[in-house]
Amino acid sequence: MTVTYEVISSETLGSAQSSVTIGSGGTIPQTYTDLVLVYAPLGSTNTVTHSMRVNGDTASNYSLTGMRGDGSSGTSYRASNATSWTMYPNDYDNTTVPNVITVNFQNYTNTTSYKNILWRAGLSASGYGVSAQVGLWRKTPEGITSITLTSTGNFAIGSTFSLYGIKAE
Amino acid sequence: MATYQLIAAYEVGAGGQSSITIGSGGTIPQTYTDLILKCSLRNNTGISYNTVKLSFNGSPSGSSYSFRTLYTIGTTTSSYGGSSGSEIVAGGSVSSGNTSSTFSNAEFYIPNYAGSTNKSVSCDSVTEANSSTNGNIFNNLTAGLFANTSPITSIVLTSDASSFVQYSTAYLYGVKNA
Repeated sequence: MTVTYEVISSETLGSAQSSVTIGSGGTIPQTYTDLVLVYAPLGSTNTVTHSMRVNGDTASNYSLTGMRGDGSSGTSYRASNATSWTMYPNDYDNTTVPNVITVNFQNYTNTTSYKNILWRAGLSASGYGVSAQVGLWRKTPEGITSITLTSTGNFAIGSTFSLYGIKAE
Repeated sequence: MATYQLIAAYEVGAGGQSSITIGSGGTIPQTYTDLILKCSLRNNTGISYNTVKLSFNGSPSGSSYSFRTLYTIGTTTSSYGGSSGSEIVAGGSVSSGNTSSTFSNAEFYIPNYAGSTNKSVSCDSVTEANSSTNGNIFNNLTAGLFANTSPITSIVLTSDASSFVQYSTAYLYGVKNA
């Protein structure tokens, strides 16, 4: 059977870190069709949030549109010309209950079009919620070779980060 | 190395089934990193709003579950949740009052299911039947928590209805990150 879903990298933090880079140095292989990032961050406190960039790009090339539910009402939000994708901007990481976050990067190697991503996050605890966002990266098209997640505090010990590659064959 | 493998497949037979149990007797293998449960469900009632409920390990503690859901029904978007419950209410199944041969589409993601921390669950679910006559055409995004540190060894799906109908399916996959 052809293997079409493979682990590219996986990391469980043994010490608190303010950022995590997957594919440091631009080493995410360009041999898959799509990427799936699955991570379960814990916060150093209950009041930290985090954001994501690709390929180390710090320019104003990011935008997003999202929707969120907190258990009593639903809201939507968006940001444009941002310097990163801020993850669920009204929420925080939790010290004891990990978020469940999946991010899909379709056709991540193409050099002809901007990249869209889809991510879903959720944490069931008082004051937290569930969200889904789409993001756009408008840098001159290039393949995604690294992904950096940055916390306003720290990602705590035990946070996990796994990147999978999917081959359409 | 294959990292995404089928663990169990379940299809409801003729006559329906009141619940779907995966890993009966605690037989879900503990050798994967994450679990992914993909479901296609239809139930036997015509009630207007029909949810699917998820519980683990025979629900050893009836108050271990909480959830937050964002949903859309027709043109309305809203959110609801629950805490200290006996199950995670996550998504829906298509009721029999809707277009025949239509089923829901749902995916549950359960990371670190074999670990010794509380278990978070993510669920995406949609029901669409080209009709809103019964009001249960909705999409649904849920974050759930099973506040229990035991590994997940079995999963039970139930419904507001008395049974899931024939051809409802549930497939459990394991994902390895190494």
